Amino acid sequence: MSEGGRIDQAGSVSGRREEMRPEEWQEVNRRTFLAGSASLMALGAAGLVFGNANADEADQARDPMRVPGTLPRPYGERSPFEKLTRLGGAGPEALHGWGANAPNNFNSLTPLQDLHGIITPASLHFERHHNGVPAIDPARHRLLVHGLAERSLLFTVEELKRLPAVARLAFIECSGNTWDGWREAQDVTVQDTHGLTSNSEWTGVKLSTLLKAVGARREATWMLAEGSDASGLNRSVPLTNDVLNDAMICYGQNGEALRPEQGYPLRLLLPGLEGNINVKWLRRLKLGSAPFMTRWETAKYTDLMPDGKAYQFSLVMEAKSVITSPSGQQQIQPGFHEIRGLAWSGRGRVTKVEVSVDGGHTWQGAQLQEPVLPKCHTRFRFPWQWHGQEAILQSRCVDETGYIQPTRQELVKVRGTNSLYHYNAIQSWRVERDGRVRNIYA
Amino acid sequence: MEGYETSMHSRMLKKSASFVLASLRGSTYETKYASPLRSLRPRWTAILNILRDRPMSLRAATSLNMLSLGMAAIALGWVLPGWSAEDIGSYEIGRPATEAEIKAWNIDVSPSGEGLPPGQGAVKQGMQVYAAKCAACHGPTGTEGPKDRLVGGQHTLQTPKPVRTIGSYWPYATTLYDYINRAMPFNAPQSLTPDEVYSVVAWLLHQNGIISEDTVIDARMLPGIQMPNRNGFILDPRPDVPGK
Repeated sequence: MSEGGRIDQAGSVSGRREEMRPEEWQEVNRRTFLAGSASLMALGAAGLVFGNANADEADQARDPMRVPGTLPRPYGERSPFEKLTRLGGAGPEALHGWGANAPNNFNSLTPLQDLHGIITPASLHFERHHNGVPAIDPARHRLLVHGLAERSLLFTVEELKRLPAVARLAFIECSGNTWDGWREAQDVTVQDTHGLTSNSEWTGVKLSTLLKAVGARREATWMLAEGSDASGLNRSVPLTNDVLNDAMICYGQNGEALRPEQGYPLRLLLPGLEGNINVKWLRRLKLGSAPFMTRWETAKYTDLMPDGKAYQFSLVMEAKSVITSPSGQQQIQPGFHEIRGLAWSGRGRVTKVEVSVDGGHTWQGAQLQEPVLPKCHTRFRFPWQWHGQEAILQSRCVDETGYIQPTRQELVKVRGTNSLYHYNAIQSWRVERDGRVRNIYA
Repeated sequence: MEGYETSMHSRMLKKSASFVLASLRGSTYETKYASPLRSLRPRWTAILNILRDRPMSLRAATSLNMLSLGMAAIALGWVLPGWSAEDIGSYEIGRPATEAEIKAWNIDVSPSGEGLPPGQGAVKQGMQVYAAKCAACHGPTGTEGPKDRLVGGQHTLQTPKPVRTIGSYWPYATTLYDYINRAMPFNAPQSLTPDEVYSVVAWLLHQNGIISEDTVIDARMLPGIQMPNRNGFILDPRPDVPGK
């Protein structure tokens, strides 16, 4: 699924070959493959149960205490037992028949149900792009900053890295995340319903640093951001105080360079604002005094209301939470479960998450995992005993502005069902008597 | 620039609540972008806070227009940008871009028409370009797909199955030039000449019943074309859903 992943793997393999003797390489490689085989995994487990003393010679060869492990390698890979991947490629419209736009919908979804903590591994960060991931040589890439400013400046990536850097954690959520929520409930996973949000540590230079460098004029209240992909994606950014405090031009993600799917070598980061405006493969910032009215803020990413009018520049991602485990299509057993999930708000910190196991009749406070940061995924936990009866699991969050995540009914009452974007209602998972978990509206 | 600014914002804001604007600004609309704005800021912020801090019941009683204006103002940068020009260029990093470099990269087209190149296109010529380069994805008449439907759909936005097309939804004709020029055709973006882009724009506008068959589109006349859904957008009024 991930081109980048394959390239990384190939790169590390060739790197190892150079550093190891061929027979050494062969042996390590053989062991890796054997360890991955399911039947041998079962044998290994038996060995653990009965103790190594009872294991036969073949098992002893696989006892990790009896054979030397692998040597250091140039670029790390996860255990061959771990198979977690992004999902998709064609997108919700293709999956659920919302239109015949499937080949345009390049995206992939983050497997929220199996992730820990609040950082999304770069390899599993969701993707959304509008004509593929461009191949960009950072040595040839430039950022032009111009428009209503004293001067126009061109920056190389290296030059931007020399400027004072900042780093922060922030989520990016596509405003189309959970858009099937506007339609009939489907029996799908949380990766299908909520997988277009991810959370990373981002490093880069503050937008305000560049605006100072070019001498932005006071009448510059809007900024066009443009990507150098085959869609030339362009969005108008309102230069509010909030934007000027937060906005960054990023080159780092979770400690290394941005992934190509995330805008390598440069992307705009506007914490809390809809994913699309966080322009990737950034090549140009143009200062103006009015919005530029691109296709992406008129024909798309506008929210059609029941009266036929559409919200425009609806940029903030409002507070939202979801239980990631137990969640859609999972099978659970009676007994103890820790209900786990994520909450986030584009307006600041999450201050409270409550969990209901009875479809919203009663609510109890969930524990928030530190750190709780503004415009950042927040992990919550809630202990639960399941005794085999039907249950409806829900979470709702409140952010520091006092905004309360709405029910689906409340949301639809105001916005109808045709607005496509910005669905942030309370998610309901029904645990059926046989332990099957299903996506429902409650 | 100023003309466009005025028309765009007045359409979205002045129209909905000119009395609020007048009371906030105390003078003409244009002063919003003028430098003395800083002095207006505390007043503006205070009024917005009053709007925000009202309990929901009071909010409901408030005119929706007024509320949406308040929130829209926050969303749209009415609060003055916080940078100052004092330490310009202190890092001395980055180099000045030449006029030629800027010209090569400065491809966007604004609703004012700024950015439109010389050239022109007629409906008939556009029909041929469309058939050769667009119809495979958008259908022979712009209605069949398989990709985005481009034609028709007018008067469907309030129905259970709205059809969003250029004719029914797009507020600015200039956006057509900007988008087709930068991103279409999908398999060969930026391969069309200005005349080809103008002509496809002309054909699409004609197919949507917006211009007559003999209209020729160029930089001068494209910004003046009134799109049917030009008044179909309101600035983000959220938070719009009261939680329990």
